[in-house]
Amino acid sequence: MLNYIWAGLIIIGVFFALWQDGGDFRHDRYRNGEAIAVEIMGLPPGYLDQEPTGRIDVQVNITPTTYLEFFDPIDNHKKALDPEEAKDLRDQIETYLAEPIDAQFVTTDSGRELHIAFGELAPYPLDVIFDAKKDDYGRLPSDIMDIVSDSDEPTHATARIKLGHVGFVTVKTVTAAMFKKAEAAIALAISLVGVIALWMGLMKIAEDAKLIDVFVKLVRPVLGPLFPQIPKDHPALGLIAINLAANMLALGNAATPLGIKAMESLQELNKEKDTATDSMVMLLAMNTASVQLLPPVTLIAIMGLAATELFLPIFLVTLISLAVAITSAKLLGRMRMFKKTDPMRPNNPNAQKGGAA
Amino acid sequence: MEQIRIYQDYVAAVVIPLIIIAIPLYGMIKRVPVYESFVEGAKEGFKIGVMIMPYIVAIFVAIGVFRASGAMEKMEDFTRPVLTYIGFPPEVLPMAIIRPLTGGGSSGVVAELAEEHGTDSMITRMAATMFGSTETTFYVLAVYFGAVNVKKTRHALPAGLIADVLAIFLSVYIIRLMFP
Repeated sequence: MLNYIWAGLIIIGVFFALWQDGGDFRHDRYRNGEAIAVEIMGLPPGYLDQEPTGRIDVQVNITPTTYLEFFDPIDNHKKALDPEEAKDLRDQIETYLAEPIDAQFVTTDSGRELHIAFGELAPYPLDVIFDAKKDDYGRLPSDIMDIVSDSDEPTHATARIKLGHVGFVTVKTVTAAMFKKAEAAIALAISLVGVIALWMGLMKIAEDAKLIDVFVKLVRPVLGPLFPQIPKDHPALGLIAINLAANMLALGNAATPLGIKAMESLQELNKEKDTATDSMVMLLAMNTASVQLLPPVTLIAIMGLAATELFLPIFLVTLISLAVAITSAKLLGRMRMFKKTDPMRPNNPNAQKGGAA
Repeated sequence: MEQIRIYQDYVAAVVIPLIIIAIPLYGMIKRVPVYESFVEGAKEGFKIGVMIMPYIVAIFVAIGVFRASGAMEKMEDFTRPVLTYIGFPPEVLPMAIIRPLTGGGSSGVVAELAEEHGTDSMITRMAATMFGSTETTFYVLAVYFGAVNVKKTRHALPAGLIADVLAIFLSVYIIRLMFP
């Protein structure tokens, strides 16, 4: 079951990513290989007529109309946008493109480039292109296809630029996430070790001081009526009490061996060794829904101080679920289909020798 | 309600310091070598810390891939109408599914949610309460019955799962009530 869920998450994730990227290609969402019209401002007069090398700071303007026509981001979005989201995106485009964007005009041997600092606030799908293709300085290099200086304004020019090829964006994100998460998991686990060690140290003192006996005394009196099949002075009841007390204190590692001892003791009373008795079912039900006075140590380690606020809710939830577990174990035990398989029923033909109490 | 909330806040503030002084104090009264016991237990804790690492890696990677691909968002959008109707945030759905199956794995889910949404977000609180208030039912059944060779478990699984499902829903509602 768990194997399917785990593998399912990964396989579905990767296929979903491929499917998304397939959609990107099919609809050409990033306009790969096409050039968008921009206005470049802040060029020194006559700069374009020289053959300079190096880089100068300029500013770039893209009009919202050009942007909307070029990318068609509303209808060609990877999600189906509802009217409100469409309006938000339109607003974002208007606001973002209202201000000129900082860029560098770079002339190299292979031609002229515009390195544009689009930044985090860029609207879809420019944000994706920027994220995928930005350089170490946080600028998106783009090739200038043709450039004409403005006849009225010597420092301005109009140009068409290619923003670079973008593909398999989601798959790349998924791959990056895989490595990043594996790394984060160990970093987190290591940060947990300290708190877990602190807590386990305290719990070990509690264990050595037999603090558990206090809770056994609390639990013991209510057990009799819940396990009517166990004779009053049988050691099973004591073992069950210790197991439940250990569970209340979230001593998971100590509780399990105690629980197994209790099960062995119940098995001695069992008349049909391969079938669970009502007492066993009750013990299991109480174990899976045990009252938690203290939450598990890993939870305290993960949540830090925020865990303290959860002590009370967890206690209340487990109190109710314990009541329900006991009730359902009792009620289900009375159902015909379960009652007729009870190993302790009178005249059980499968009863084995030496099993009787 | 407001009064209860303030009270709960005060109790929460002192509960851990109280445990931290009460246990060694009780140990000293009972003449336990507290320092040695602590170190002994802390060693054990170190082992647990190392033991959960592979689980956390496995879950972090699986959920990380699922989230990064956008499939998580799709699933949340898909289940939201039904789940919102019963007041259940779709983000905690993975927790509800994984909890009865693996203890280490579900601690990974809590940690993953804490990283994505912060430790004092409603979603992380709900998942953490689920983690604290239910057990790895399938594991407990397998271990306990396996130890004594019982194969016909009768109504043990239904009883355990009823309690689990209830605890999962209760966790959601109690957090909504206590942290509005």
